[in-house]
This record gives sequence, structure tokens and C-alpha cells, in this order.
Amino acid sequence: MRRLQRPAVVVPILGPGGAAGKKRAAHIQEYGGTKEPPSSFPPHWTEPDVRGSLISMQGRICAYCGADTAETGDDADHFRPKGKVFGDPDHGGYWWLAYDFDNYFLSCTTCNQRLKSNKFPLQDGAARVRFEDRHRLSEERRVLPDPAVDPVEDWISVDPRNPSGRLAPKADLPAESAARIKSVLVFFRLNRRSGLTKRRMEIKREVIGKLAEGKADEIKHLAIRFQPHSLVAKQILEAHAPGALPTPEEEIEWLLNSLSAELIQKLKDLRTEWTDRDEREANELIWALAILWKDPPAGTPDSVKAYLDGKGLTELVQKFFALL
Amino acid sequence: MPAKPSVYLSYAVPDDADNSVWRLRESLAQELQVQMGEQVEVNGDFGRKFPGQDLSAEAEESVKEASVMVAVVSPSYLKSGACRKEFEVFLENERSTGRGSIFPVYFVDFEDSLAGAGGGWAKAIKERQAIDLRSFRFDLTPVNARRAIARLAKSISKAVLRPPSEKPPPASQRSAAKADELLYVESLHLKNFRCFEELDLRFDHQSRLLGRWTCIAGINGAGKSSILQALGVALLGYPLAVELGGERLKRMRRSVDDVRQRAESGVVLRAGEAERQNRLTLAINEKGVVAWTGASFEGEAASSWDEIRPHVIAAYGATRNLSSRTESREESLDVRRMITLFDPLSQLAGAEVLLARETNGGPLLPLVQNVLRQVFGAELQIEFGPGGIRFTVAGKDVVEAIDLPDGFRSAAAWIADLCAIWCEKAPELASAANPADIQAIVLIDEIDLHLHPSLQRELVPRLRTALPKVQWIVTTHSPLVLANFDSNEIIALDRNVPGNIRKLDRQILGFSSDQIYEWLMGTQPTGQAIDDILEKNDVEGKPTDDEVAELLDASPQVNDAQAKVRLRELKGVMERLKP
Repeated sequence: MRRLQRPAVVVPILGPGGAAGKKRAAHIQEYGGTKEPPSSFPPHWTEPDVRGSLISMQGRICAYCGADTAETGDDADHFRPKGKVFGDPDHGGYWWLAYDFDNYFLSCTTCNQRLKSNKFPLQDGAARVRFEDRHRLSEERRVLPDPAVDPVEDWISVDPRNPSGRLAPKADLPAESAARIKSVLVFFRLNRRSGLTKRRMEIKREVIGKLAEGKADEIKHLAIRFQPHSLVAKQILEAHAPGALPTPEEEIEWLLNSLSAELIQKLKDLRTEWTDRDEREANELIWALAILWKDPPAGTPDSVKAYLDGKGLTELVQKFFALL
Repeated sequence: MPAKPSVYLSYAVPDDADNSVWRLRESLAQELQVQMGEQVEVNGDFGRKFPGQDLSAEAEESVKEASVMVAVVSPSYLKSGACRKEFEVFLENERSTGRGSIFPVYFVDFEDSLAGAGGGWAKAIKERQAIDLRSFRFDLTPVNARRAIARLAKSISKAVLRPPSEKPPPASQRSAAKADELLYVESLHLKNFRCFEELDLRFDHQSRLLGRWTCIAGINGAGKSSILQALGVALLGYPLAVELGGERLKRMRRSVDDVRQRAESGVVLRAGEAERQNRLTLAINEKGVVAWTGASFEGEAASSWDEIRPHVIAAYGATRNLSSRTESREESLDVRRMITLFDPLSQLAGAEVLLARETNGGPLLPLVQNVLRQVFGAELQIEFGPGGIRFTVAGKDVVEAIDLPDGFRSAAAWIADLCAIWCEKAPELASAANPADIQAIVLIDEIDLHLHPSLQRELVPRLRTALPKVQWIVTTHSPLVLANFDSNEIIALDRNVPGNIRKLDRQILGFSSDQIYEWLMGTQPTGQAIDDILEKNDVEGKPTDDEVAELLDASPQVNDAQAKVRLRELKGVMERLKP
């Protein structure tokens, strides 16, 4: 689980004039004064601009398990369930957050559909926030850390002395946080899914091997936050070769490289065979690049534009950039 | 068509002792007048008073004039010489004028064993589509009775109005010409069928591969078998599906809050060179019986399935197997042929039994031999010798069906059965014993059943070439089978997505089994045991992290001993790296 930073840009569809924004307003007007939740939610979170925002924030990495969603399939996950909440039949769900970007993460299908589903556990005795007291959302005593709010990287340890790929709460955590991390590791089965553990172990092996050979630079890319299970390489490098850690600028450049390469390939494909799906995926990438240009997490908009100029993508991305 | 249509009511004198046949005549005449807007004479030899009395000349004349005969079939009827004469006169007239219809009516309740009486002419009459009025003999006033009379009147008026040329030839003449005619299922529409509230599927895909195939994939409980059952029941149609029995039919109806709903399964078929469209829809209602939703008259509904009866439509459930005998059942042949789809405890007739019927030079054995050779090559061969049917496995072991490996037995079971149906329904074409001639719709649940992985990966491509004219609708759990389909041919059931079907946006022909498990079936390609071990490690610290690391490191490239060495080396490096 890596710390995520949400872009400060709202894509048009989620804005007050967009389809999702309007739906949200309509829901609030119709159901805000009632105890009834809305019965249907058009899936605007699958639209290219929303997914593009998520990709600009996370690359292709699942917010919860760190796996590459290109391999596993991905979902735009609602952090707080929009419909009824597991174990709390009277609540009706956090329906007013159905079209709130702050409630979205890109997640692998296992984490989202099989494990999280409509669960959103609270700490013992905590009250679940309802629409009436929605302004107190940040005080809700949830179990799951919010990677865009909580300093998760300071809470979870990959334990470099351990030969397996096991994750654990950091040693110096207060008891309450440690207990919370433990239950999160169990919730997403982060130590119990052999695919994840094995992959983390392989990365650890590679990182440690290269470190021993004094080739820390060769493993720098593994610590980039947009790489699968990058927490492993990051924490080992922090302990043994902090100088080899990637800078935020290097991370963004890596993301720009990877997204633009994907986009250029997609545009080539589109020239020969045009499917709706390809077009949508190309649009997702263009949105992601436009958002990185508008609000780069590191560097400046000008440096991103210079990058896009170099790839000949500026004109294409400009169209979406202008809408932000 | 005569200026004034007339109906002749043929009955046996004793059956009208209580005037019940007379009352039937009155009701029918009234209803015909209502429906046709003109008076329709319903004649009969009502002057005849004694059993055994001969047919009057006047009555004979009425028979000849009549365009429709209604025969009140009963034990007395089947024994009556006068009734026989009426029937023969009518039939003679039908032949010479090319028009006329006979409607047998069951009015008297009688023991079935008595129905054998009467000889050939009685048999001929009983073969016609009968109308059942037995419950209404003593009282024709209830609304159900009046409805039944109305249905009878409607088919009579239809027959009267039909010009002679449009009269279809008898079913027996049609079948020979039709078994090899193109027939395929274009789409299926379900309502409240088993787990599906509503579902629409199409089976006419664009595919880069040979043949007309659909593979239904999905996680357990996604409803794969339900779809095959829905197809099966819609293709059996009315009235055959009734024979599946109330219990089986009831289970097809979706339960909502413990209340069974009215289920519907409808298919759209394409038939013949012109690929004309044919819609057949069955509904299963609260009484567990089957009705047709297209029109209210059951007789009409039955005739709409008549058109597909001559075709080979076969369905094989996951429990198909060879039994050593043919089971004696009460169901019709067409129903028995599909029963493994609906009944997990039933079996297919033995290959021996099927083949033994025709080992003296009939086409069945060579046909089965040809299919098996093309599908399994030298892996499975079949011969008929002095000891009976013998299978040769992998070119060496000669065994009886019962000793076949399970996978072969299951495959041989349906292949032999399919070939047998083809031989029976298209005897002339079947004599060439060429699998490529076989025209059929075949539904198979878990087509990979029990087959060794190496055969699983070859089965579908081999069948594509061997039986190119068959429309196949199959299910599977096997990634090795799935990797043989064009993505358009795969229906990926997923109850989590709207419409219950996941759209596949890429070909999986080049996918490895691991990738298919993960990407298509939502299943980890590793076992649960390793996850359980990891959980124990996580909870109890046993096995240790070292042991877990060794387990996870083992691979086709790394054996257990090497994993130990690698772990030691890794720990050595980690020791040296300590900050």
C-alpha cells in the first residue's frame, strides 16, 4: 500500500455540469431529506475521464494490494460502499459519495470484488456516518486506512530481515494503529495470497542481490510508486542505499514514459482496427496525461508540456487539457 | 371448400346412453357458430340406436360431405364396426379430395390397456393429435370445459378454412427430408428461469474458427447448466417437456422470497436454406405444467414444435455415462435423449446396446468408428468382434465399455448416442457413415468431463473438423478447452456485471491456462493449500518464514535442494547488508 496524492483537478463529468455531478445533485435533492437511499447508480465511475484521473494518481497499481492491475483486471472501487453496507442493513450506504472522486480508488478485481465488496468495517463501537452528519466523515473511526489520507507507508513494513514476502505493522507503531494494520493485512489477505507474497519475495530477492553487488542504481526503478509492490524496494533502499531512491520527479517521468508509450501503441492499433474499447482506453490515457500536465505531483506544468512536446502528443492531450 | 362447412361427429352408441355426446355436439356447434360467424352443421349418426347397427346411408352421405371429423374415442368406439366404416369413408374422401382433418377426442375415461383394441384403423386414429375432454363428460358447463371446446372449435375452423393445397404432408414424410436441413439456435431469451431473472443470449457469432460453436464459461453457480437446461426444455417444447415431470419443471422456476415465479424459456431458430426464423417459447407456470405463450391453443403450440422434431437435437448432462442397458422409461424418445441434462442420476444407454442393434452391416458402427478416429486418433478405437463391442485404448489395451477410462467412457457415450440419433433420423444420409454429414444441435455440459489435459486441449479443434455441420453449445471449467475458442464464441457468465455477461475484449487463443484462470475465471492459478500455509505462517508463525520462502521459491527451474541453497545465500547477503 503506497501513499497516494489525489490530483487537485476535477474532471468535467464529476463537476457540477457533468453527468455524474448532476446525478449526485439530483440524488441529494431527492433522497437527502428521506431515510431512503437511491435505488440506482449509473456507473459514471467507469467513464474515461474518471479512470484517467485514477491512473494519473496510481498508474496501473491496485491501491490496496500493490499488484499490477493490467495483469489482474481493474475496477474503480468505491472506498466507502455506495449501496448497502455489509453487516449494517439499516444504513443504506454512503450513497452521496457515489460520484465523489475522493471516494474512488483503482483496485484489482480480487481486492474490490472478492474481498472488499460492500464491506467497510468500523472500529469497535464506532458510529457510521450518515447523510445528515456527512460533514463529520473525516472523524469516522474506520478500520481501513485511506491511502490518500493516511500515512500508510509509515505504518506497513516489508521487514527486510525476513526472507519471505511478508508484510507487518511497523515496529514502533502505537498499539491501536498496529492492531488496525494487522486487521487490514487480514482484510485484504495481503500475507495470505500466494501470488502477492511470492511476487514481493522475488522483488526482495532481486533488490537484495543487486545491493550486495553494489548495483543499487539498477533497482531504483523497482521503488517507483507506479511499479507493482514498490514498497518492498523502497523500504530496503531506504535502509541500505537511500541515495538510490527515486526522486518524485523521476517517478513522474517514469509514469509519463509508461503512459505515453501505452498511448502511442494504442493509437497505432486504432489506425488498423477501431473498437470502442480501444478508443475508451486511449481516452483514459489522454485524460491521465492531461491531468498530470494540469497538476503535476512533482515538477511543473511546463516540464510536463515539454515532455509531451517531445513525444508529439501535446496537440492530442491539449484537447482534454482545455476542458480541465 | 364446400359452400357450407360441416363437421361429422363419430361416436359409439353406448357412449351416448346418457346423452353426453349429444351435449358435446350442441356445445361444439354453438361454439363453431360463434367463432366462424355462420352456422356450422355438426352431423352424426344420431338415429342409430343399437350397438352393432350398420351405418345409415344418410349418415354415410354426411361423412362424405364433412370436411372435419371429430371422433369420440372409447373402448366401444374402437370395437364398433359402424365407427370403423365412418372412419374409412372419411379417410377415402380425404384422399380423393386432398382435404379433411380428423380430431380424436377423449371424452370417456377408460383404462389404457383397453386402448389397444380395434386394430390398424384404431391405431391410425390414435396417432392424430388428440383433444382431451375426459374431465368434462358429465358437465360441459364449467369455464375450463367451455375453453376446451373453444380450443377444439378453433382448430376445426382452422382446418375448415385451410385450402387443400396448404395441408402439410404427414410428419413421417417430412422427417426424412428434414434431418439434414440446416437448423440452428440463433438466440435464447429467459425470464425467471432458475437463477436468472432475465437473460438474453445469442449463438450466431462471428468467429475466425470453423463451425458453429458457443462455449459458456463462468464460475460455479453462475448458471452454466441452467442455460443448457433452458435450451433443452425450449427445444423439447410442448408437449414433450411435460414429460420431464412436475418436480423437474418446478425447479426451473426462479424463487423470489420463496415463491416460485412463472418461468419462460424461448428460442429463436433459423431453419432451411433461406434461414427462415422460427420462435418457440415455453412457459412453466404455477401448476408446474408447460404452456405456450404465443397463443392460447395448446394443439397449435404442439404443431409449432413439429417442424423441429425431425432434426437431431441432443443434450448431454455432466453425469452422462454409459450404462450397460437401456433403461425402460415412460418418457418419449426425444425426452429420454435429453434426460441426463435434467436428471443427475440418469445415464445414457450403453454403447453396446446402441451398437448391438446395428452391427450387421448398419451404418452406426462405422460412423462411430469414424468419429472416434477423427477425434481421438489412435487413442481410442472401437471394434465389433465375436465377443461384442470392444474398445482399444492407446493402441494396446482392449477393454469393454465398462473398463474404459472415465474420460473416454463419457465421450464415447455421447458420441455413440449422437451417431445413433443421426442414423435413426436420417437413415439414408447416415448410410455413408460420414461424420461430416451430421446436421444437429448438440448441447454438452462440461465437454471436457474426465478427459486427460492433453485430450482436453485437442477435443474442440478435432470436433470442429470432424463434425462441421453441428451447432455446439457447450460448457466447461477447463482453461485448456476455453483456449480453443474465438472470444466471440465464449459467453462469460458473471452475475456481478449488468446483463450477467462479461464482454470479452480480447482473444484468448494465445493465453496460458494460468492466464485464463486468473483473467477469465477469477481464480488463482495456485492451490488453496499454499494460501492456507501462508495463513498459518501469518497467524501462528508456523511454518516459519524460512520454510515459506523455500516453498514459494520452488519452481520448474528451482528444485527443493536448490531452494534451500538459495535461501541460505539470501540470508547470508541479508546478514552482511545489516545497516
